[in-house]
Amino acid sequence: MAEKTALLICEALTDEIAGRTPPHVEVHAIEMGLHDYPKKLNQELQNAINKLEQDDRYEIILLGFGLCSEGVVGLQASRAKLVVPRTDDCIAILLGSMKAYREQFQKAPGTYYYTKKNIDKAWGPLAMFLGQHEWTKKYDSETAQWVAREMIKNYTRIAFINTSMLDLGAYEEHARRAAGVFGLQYELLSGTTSLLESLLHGPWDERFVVAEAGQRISRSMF
Amino acid sequence: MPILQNLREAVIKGQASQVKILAEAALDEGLSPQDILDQGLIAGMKLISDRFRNNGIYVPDILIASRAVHAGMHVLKPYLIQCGVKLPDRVIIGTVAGDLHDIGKDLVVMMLRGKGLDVIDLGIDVEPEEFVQAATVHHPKLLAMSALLTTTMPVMAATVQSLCLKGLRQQVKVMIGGGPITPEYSRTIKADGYAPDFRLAAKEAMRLLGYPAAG
Repeated sequence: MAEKTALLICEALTDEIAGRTPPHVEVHAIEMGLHDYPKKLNQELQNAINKLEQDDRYEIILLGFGLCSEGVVGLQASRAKLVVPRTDDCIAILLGSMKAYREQFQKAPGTYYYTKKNIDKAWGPLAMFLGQHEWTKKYDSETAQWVAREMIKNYTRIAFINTSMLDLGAYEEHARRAAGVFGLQYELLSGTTSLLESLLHGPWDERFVVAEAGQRISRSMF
Repeated sequence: MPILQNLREAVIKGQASQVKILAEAALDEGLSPQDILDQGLIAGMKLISDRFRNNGIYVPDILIASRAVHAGMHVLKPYLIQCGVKLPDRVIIGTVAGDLHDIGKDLVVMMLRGKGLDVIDLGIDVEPEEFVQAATVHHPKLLAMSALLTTTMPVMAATVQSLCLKGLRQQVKVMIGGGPITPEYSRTIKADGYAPDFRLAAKEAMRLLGYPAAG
């Protein structure tokens, strides 16, 4: 029988695991965007781990995160094993590996990566420009546009990562429009769910950081 | 002074044209340009930074406030050149190679210039060799680096090592900051100082340069 497992996953990645989660894995989504507040992310994750450990049936806690601005550094479970993809962030997870991410980083370090989820959530520079983003809703259009241009001013490329959609339709149109508005290059990138599937099913090879029960996740493990 | 209070509020609201008008009015009232800067513009920035992350204040609000501070500084600049505080210390600052995120770094530059320091801003995507070259040419007392990405943080360590190799490490203090940076990381790479945000960066810079702590 499979070991009782919980998955704490960033909301940014929940579309990619939908329908792929085995029955013995219980899924808990964590609010996306907390990489901007790494201490808060760390606290939320540690609290979630502690809560899961109150129910001692869990032998394994999977983390659907990367290093995420060091938000996972210091996490510890007393009885469960922690498993986290050895990546810097969710972009590498969606591209399938750190290698794939580094290739894109070399190509254009100033890339804004769109995904279905961040378009659904009205995130990203275009939503900011249009005053639809939570951060710019309160501003007049001139100010919202100025803010969006400031936020994206050093970027050179907009990329859309497609992990599974057959019909990109409006999503790709949104990303293309963003590139047009800010005068940036546009590229459609093929994503993959393979790393997330390995997180769910194993094997937890060198692509993953594994902290045994009682062991703290450290930066040097990445 | 009510005018400084109004100036702080205009900064918080990001009203650049209002800040400009109030800064001119404050000069007309005979207030010193340094007081207008410290107690009006910079104090407004400090207030908004205190609210950041807790009260629905986000990065754009900080950006808009800093735009207003720049409008005010533009008014004050000719007066500050004549009679503002000038410190003899030079600082070089940059966002490390591969990293293009300079919003925080630009705020630190603004705060350090507000303190009267001579700041040389190397911009974004700065390689360790460029930091070393700038340190050789400009003889700064402080070298400050920012990074927002965990992928670019190692450039900070590489820069500290390059400074050591060139025999410059003893001549310059090094401080680091940015989203993923922690005090532990600062210690690991043997930097002298660390700050979690732009406001505390100014404070840390002054401490590293040997100035007594101020409010």
